Amino acid sequence: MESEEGVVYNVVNLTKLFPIKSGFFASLFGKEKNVHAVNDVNFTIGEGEILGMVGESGCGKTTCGRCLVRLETPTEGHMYFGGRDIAGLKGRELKSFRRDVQMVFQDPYESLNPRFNVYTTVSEPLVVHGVGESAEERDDMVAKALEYAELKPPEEFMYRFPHELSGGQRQRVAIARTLVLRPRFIVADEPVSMLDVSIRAGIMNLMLSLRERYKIPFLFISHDVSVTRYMSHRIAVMYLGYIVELGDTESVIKDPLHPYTEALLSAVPVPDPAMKHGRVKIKGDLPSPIDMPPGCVFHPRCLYRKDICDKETPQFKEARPGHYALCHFAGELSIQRPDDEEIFEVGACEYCKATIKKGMSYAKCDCNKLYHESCATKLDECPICKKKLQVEE
Amino acid sequence: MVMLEVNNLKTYFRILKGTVYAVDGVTFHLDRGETMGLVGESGCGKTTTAFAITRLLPSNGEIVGGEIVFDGTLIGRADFPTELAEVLKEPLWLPETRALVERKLKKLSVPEDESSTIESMRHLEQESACVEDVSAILNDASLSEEEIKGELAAIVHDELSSFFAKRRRRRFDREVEEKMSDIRWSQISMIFQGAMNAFNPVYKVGDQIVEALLEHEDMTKDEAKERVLELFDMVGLDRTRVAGYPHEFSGGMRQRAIIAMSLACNPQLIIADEPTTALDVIMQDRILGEIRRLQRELHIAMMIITHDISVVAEVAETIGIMYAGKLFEFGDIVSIFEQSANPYTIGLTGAFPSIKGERKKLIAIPGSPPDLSEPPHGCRFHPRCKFAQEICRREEPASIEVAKNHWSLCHFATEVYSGKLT
Repeated sequence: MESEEGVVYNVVNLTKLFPIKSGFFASLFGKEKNVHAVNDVNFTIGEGEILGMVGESGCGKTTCGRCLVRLETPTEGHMYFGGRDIAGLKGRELKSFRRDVQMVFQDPYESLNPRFNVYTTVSEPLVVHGVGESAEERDDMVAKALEYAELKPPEEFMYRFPHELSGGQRQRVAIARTLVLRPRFIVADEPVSMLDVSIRAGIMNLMLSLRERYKIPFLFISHDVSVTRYMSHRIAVMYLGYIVELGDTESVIKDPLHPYTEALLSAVPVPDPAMKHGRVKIKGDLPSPIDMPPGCVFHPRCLYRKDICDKETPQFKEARPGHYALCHFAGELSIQRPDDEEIFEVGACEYCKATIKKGMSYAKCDCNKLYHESCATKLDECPICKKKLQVEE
Repeated sequence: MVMLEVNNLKTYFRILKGTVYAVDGVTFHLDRGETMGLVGESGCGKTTTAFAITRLLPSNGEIVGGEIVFDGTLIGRADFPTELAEVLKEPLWLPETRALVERKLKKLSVPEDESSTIESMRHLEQESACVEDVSAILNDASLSEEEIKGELAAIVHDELSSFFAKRRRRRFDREVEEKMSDIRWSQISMIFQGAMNAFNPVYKVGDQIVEALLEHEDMTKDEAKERVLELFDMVGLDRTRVAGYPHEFSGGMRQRAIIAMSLACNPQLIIADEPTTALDVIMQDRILGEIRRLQRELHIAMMIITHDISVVAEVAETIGIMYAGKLFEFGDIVSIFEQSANPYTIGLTGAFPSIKGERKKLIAIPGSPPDLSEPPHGCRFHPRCKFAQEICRREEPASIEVAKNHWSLCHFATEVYSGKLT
């Protein structure tokens, strides 16, 4: 279990609780309360693999990432990195472990020190860990790291300050800073969510090519499902501190097993005006991570809920080879897939002649003619039978 | 029927280093009950366009060209001498000046609108006299180009520095401003960027909406309170929440409350600046659904400003793509998505991942957006465009209507549209 062939990181029952400060009397008589940030999480990351982690804000994905680079100490559980349990490392051992793992942060406008130039920023890890014999050797390593991050020529960027760089270039500097120590594992926490669309694709392609060339495994954390799909080999979907679904990217996206994944996918906007899709299949709001719901954590919002769900905690089971879900009925529910709408057509719009797909809102006239919602608003009444159009849900 | 018409709008910011050409010649229109999406990267002038329409520009921002007509009323326009002064700075000043004078002659020959007072009529009369002077100079065949420029510069200088002209202009501006403060919120309302923090944290949410109502509508406090309850029902908030403070609301609820506030005075147009950016996808989908439902029921026109092209695809009927202060493509959303006529739009859609269909390789647009205080010569996109030719570096492209209700700002718009350039 501890060291499998080709596995870089093996996370077993990882749990992270944050205690809440309470008053004096409450601490004497009341039960101690915790924020359940990460609950009993298990996964592995293989050699040269990118694991995507998606979920809403507050679901614990960032805390999980921070535990993996030991910026947080886990409350319980084991994390085997290259066969060694690093969950309880301290002091010198922890420092030497941190040489091997690096993190890219979300906001390149805040994660770079404004008073450090690019050279100082990128060479700082070398100084901290005492890497490199001489100043020349370090210069060489910094230049190489900048080149890997596609900041070419490196001499031009080396002595600039962060305010002289664009957002994309700053994120490249942050990536160069992680690469300079030749890490064996990188956690990228929302590395592209602050960047503009035209620059975002460049950074994503850069990270993909780095993985391709140096086989560095990544944990890619993002709230954007479409970005994660593009980046990763496997996807873990997090909800309220639990991984509710884990599997190959295409398998999770195209054929989800968990009702929460279904809801998440149905909410993702698609850059195609013909796909004005329907209601999200979820009810209510995210429960508080302090008082967790009993049984299955998703049951208060689940549309497929049965009696067993609020009593028993489901098992994380392998419903399909390599595809796990935390649900009593994994594999038994008929879950809507993102591409389904393309299969079911309702008919053609009388006005613009384009097809109306299932899930779009449309108007149906008494004379059985169909109109898109937008076309119906434009027309106001049916041109054939002159009746007012009512949009159906 | 056209409700909002923005014609060749130019809004510049004066800064220490010079001028930021934030919005430079944007033309579009919005029909009654229609949703338009304005998409672009950060710093491309989307928000400035919205602020120019609502006249909420910061003190160093100024409309230096074009006009904004809302529902037949002129709510924003540049002064003729100011506009002329800007045009004269350009390398191709002569044809531009002719075009400007022609446009002004056409606009000024019809009375602006009925609500204009004597004061503003006088200002407009003076201005039309000025336009005629300029047109006479332009048509004077005996003058050389240099002489024409000199004469025009003299007129501009006189108009901009004379005490009486200045006072006249100030009064006119004040009048337009007053007209606008009646229109703002009651007819055009705005959902600001970062709406999550738009409420005052020390007042109850309900009271803040009541305040807006009392300011703009002729109603008593009780009527206003009743109206707030109605609005809360409309956007799907619990009635008991009226007495809550903003910090007691979740992000999605605050967004709903902001939408309720923007609907308070039954506006005809809502400008939403990044309405869902800070929200999670599930909440975003709900808010977008809510916006669409309300719009359908109340028949309100909307302008949604966002950087996320897929959000616009979900809700809008027309779309405007902005880049570096210019509107690169405008028109029917289906037409633009299916057959774009602009290299920037193609680049933008090619850089967007999707969860549907096959996994495609994303193609990034090289380089980064230009600094708007020194925009590139010619087409502003040419340093990043893969189709760029010699002409793109030299000349600014004009907007071409490639199909019905589909405009594109590119020298090769028709070629791109028909797929000859790939």
